[in-house]
Amino acid sequence: MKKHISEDEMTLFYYGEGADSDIAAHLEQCGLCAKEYEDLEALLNQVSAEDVPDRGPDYGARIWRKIEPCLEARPTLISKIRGFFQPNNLVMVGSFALIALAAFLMGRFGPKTPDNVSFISNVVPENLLNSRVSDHLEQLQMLLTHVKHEDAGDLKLRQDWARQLANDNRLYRQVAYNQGDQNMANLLDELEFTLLELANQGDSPQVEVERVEQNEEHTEILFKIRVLRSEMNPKQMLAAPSDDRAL
Amino acid sequence: MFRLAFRMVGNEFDADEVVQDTFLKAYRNLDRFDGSSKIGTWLYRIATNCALDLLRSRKRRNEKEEETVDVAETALSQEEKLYHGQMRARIDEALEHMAPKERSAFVLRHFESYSIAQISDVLGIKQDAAKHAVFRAVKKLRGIFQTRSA
Repeated sequence: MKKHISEDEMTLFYYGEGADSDIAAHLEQCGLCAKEYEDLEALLNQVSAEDVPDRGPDYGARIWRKIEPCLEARPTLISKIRGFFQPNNLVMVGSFALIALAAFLMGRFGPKTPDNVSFISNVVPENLLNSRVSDHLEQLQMLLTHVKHEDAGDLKLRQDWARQLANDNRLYRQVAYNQGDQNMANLLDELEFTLLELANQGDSPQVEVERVEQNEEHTEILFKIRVLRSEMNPKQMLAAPSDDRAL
Repeated sequence: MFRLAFRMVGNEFDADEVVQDTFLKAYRNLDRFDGSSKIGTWLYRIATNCALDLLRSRKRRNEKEEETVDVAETALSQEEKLYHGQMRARIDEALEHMAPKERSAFVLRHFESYSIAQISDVLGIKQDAAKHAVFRAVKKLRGIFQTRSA
């Protein structure tokens, strides 16, 4: 028979991180270890049973209201641009001007491949685009909050909503990428994946289990959206905190 | 997030403070989030550090108060223990005996069901160190419960 199991091995076994089959077999055969493990298991189970107070469904909103006065605006695009034009950046500015001139000449005399994305990227003013993206993110936030807290009753409606948002999202992602906003493009890329999952999700029990597992992921995405929207329009974000049970 | 904070600091008031601090720090340091880990892991790392900071400041504050109001402090502890119940008091006592890393590792493993690998990621330590922090924490927990039972 294998030598007795140490307390550390039992701890790992309890948490499902040990060599389960060996230890389980030993516990079957060795009364001493079985008793020792029983005691450890009883204690840890007892500790697990201690409850954490429920903070209620509006806890997230309450926390955001409390920290609202402490949130200073993060650096905006304008302040970043101002910083960029400081004297020590002028050489770089000159280099970018040359690149911009080259890009203009390529665009003027090079092959023409017009499409929606480049048209929007070039023609629509950035503040208008930001406002559209902010609205889009708000819609996403609503959808994800809805998914987190509702049953599968109106599945078809949710799928259509997700599909529509996925289409919009694709366009905004490409525009963000074209404008060199890598952070925004990455986030929208992540959102697109989630939206397509929601658009194609069925209502079988297995899917329901997956939906529960996705909740944590959605919570993270909701946090990112909240922060991103706050950067675009701090007042808007702070005025309407949504229910966020992950808090 | 509140659950983790509550397990770490042991009362609702301080746990709320930890949650607020966590989101404030996350907001202010979002630029430092490099995407190498999930944002949930990053938030948990911040929350754990905020909880440990609060515990350290609470310890310093308690040490100062003990020097001046020793009797009052003892009476308050008894009341608190009665209020929370024997089990809560023992868990709190065990957690207080744990070193900061042990406490964090135990809370993440036991209450939050984090794997050893995830704990090492959140705490920024090697997996072996995370594992041994859990082992030491469990030993201390057993020690406290056995002593009190006897």
